Amino acid sequence: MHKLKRISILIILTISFLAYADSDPIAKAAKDPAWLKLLHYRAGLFGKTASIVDGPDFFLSSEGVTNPEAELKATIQALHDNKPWGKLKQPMRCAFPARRIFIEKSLKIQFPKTECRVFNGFLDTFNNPKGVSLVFSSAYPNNPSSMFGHLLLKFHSAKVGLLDMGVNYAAVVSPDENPFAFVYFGVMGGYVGQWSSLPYYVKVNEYNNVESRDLWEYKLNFSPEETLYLISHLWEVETNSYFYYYFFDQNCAYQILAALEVVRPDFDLDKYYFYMMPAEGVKNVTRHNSLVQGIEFRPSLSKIMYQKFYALTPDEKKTFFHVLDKSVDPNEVSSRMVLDALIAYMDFARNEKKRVFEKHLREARESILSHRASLGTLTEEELKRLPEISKDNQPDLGHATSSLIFYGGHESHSNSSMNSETLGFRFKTAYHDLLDSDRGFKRYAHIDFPTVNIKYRAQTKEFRIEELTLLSITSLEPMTALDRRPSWKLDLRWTTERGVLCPNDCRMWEGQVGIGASTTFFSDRNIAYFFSNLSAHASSKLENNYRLGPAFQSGLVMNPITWYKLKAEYLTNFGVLGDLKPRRTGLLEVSQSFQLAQDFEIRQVNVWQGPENHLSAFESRLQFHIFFN
Amino acid sequence: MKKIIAVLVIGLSTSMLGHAKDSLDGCGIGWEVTDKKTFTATTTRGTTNAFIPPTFGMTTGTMGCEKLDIGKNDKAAADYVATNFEQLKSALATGEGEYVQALSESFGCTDSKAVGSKIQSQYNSVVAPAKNAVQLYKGLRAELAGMCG
Repeated sequence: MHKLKRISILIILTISFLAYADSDPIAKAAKDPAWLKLLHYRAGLFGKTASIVDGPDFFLSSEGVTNPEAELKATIQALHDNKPWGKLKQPMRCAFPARRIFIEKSLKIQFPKTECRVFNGFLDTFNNPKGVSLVFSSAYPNNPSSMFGHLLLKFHSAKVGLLDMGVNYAAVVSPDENPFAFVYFGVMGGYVGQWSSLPYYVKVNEYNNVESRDLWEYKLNFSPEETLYLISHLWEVETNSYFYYYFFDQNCAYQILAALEVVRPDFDLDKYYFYMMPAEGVKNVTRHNSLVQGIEFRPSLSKIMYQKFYALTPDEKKTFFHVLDKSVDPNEVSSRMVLDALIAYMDFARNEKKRVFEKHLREARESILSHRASLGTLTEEELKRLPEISKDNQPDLGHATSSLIFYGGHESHSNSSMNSETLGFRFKTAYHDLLDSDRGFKRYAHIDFPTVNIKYRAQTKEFRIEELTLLSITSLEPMTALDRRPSWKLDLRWTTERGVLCPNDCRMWEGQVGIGASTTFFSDRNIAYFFSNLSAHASSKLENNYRLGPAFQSGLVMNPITWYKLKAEYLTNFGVLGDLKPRRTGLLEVSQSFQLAQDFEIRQVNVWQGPENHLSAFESRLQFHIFFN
Repeated sequence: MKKIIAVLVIGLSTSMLGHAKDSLDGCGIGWEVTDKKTFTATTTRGTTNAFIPPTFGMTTGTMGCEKLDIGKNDKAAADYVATNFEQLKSALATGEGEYVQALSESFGCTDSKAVGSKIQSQYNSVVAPAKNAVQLYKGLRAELAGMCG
């Protein structure tokens, strides 16, 4: 009986203690996801919580980095004291406006009003914003810092979107930074990230016009108060502190999504496995149907140029080219459509073909513009002639970044003792190849990041790392009447050779870099290409341990319907230095892919290879691709 | 490990790309047009428009232009014209489009169709002679004086 009574008292005391702990509003507020996300706390290993903010002045408590409650208490005290703080030495209530809003709302503490001249001046530049959009700029494979796209924010205040305010997060890098240092520091967090604000038309010009990249604007359902809270938070991070910038994870996408989570702490938007890709960031937002109110598409200058050009009749196209080659005086052209196509082409050339523009087109442009102005605006009928611009590259429609590929197949060799059934899987950290569905991606761009291929061969009854691809990029730029840019490629891998460059089975490094040309045929869904490459192999199994020489590659990819692709490619490699046996090798691939769901694909691959003029090895496999992020 | 591999492999691809000099395009807010081959193109653009305002060393407004005699209310229009000089020449020649609508709003006009029509009809006296954004801004301001707020 006494024992039972003691246990009861203990239980009552425990419950009372817990009840008291819950009734401490500061302790409760410190656990609120809204506070945790405002301070960018993340759960680390072994459950330890720490903020990812790197600059020290963000924390007002000496324990603030790891102790949300200590930081909240210190913030309350600091806001009461209101002393100058941070880079701008502004009063504390002006240095941390978002924290003040949180504390006043959740703890019902009211701080005296403070005039925040600098913060209010900054807010004025946003011109009373009513809402915000998440903006995705499409990928640009020719610049490594842009090859996966970019995210920024657009704050709405104007009737015309160009006049809204854009907010960008990027690394602070010296303009004359060495490219290799840029890559090293960018990946390893050697740069400070910076928030900046500038009129949205500046970003539109930068992305749409100068770089010919599409912009997708996802309007979020943030209220004006939530929009102000977001701006207040960005202010308190940028004017007191900083994050280090990491290209692959804590990048523009991560920090923008983390900022959106400050406003909507019930969402988890900045989740990823290996890389925080901007397109995946968009998907993290669109997965929550309630967050996105609408989507606006701003096509690139290049797409607008082609839209106007393809609207022309064959005779109008002839006139277009005759004006360019100066065999027709533009003042004699009466067609508004032709003149608009010429103006769009010249705007494209002014950004993308500067030497050609300055030498041949600048003067003609002035004449064309003046003449065009005398002809009035386009009629309704003329406007209807403009074809619709494809929106296939809407980023949230694309497959996920990483993939697991399971396959089974068969290898045949001229040395039949090497024949084998095979099973295996590939793990690709990122991103997209020529046989993947192009929905959500820039057409004709192939970028593969580290990929490992592990294969089981029944002949040897063993699993082995068959191949490790470090990097593989193919950027196909179809040549058109308006733009003739070269295509290029780069491959680096460690691979297994059987029966071609070595008699049995050997591992070697293989690298190729090439330049070429490509063109669409029948429609822009099909592309044919040709490359001249420099090819290198290195292995102790090769004579002199290496082989170097030219390689020539030609192929085509057909995409007759959205979910089906066919690829045929032939690569011939010549040994000129090092191991010259065989002098020439050939590799023929014929493959098909079937996209059955956004993140699931089946692929059938056939590869023949051999020395000189006969094929000594054949591999066929059926692959199942599962994409994830 | 992931980061080390990434550094090594991306270093190869970067060596293929040029590293063009950034150049300032026209006058206007502190925005640098960068050639797309500039390796750091997308990462330098943030630096000139950081949140920290001009009193701390950042320049905005009419950097690179002659001094314009503009009031606070005209600054938005001046900046817009300064940054979009070439695009505006194209848009004003066609008399319509979003660039014309934004021009109209930045000048405080409510009827962008009327603005586009008026400037298009006066293109050879207002737009064509303008050799730079300053001249274009002055010409537009004079032409739209009676029309807009």
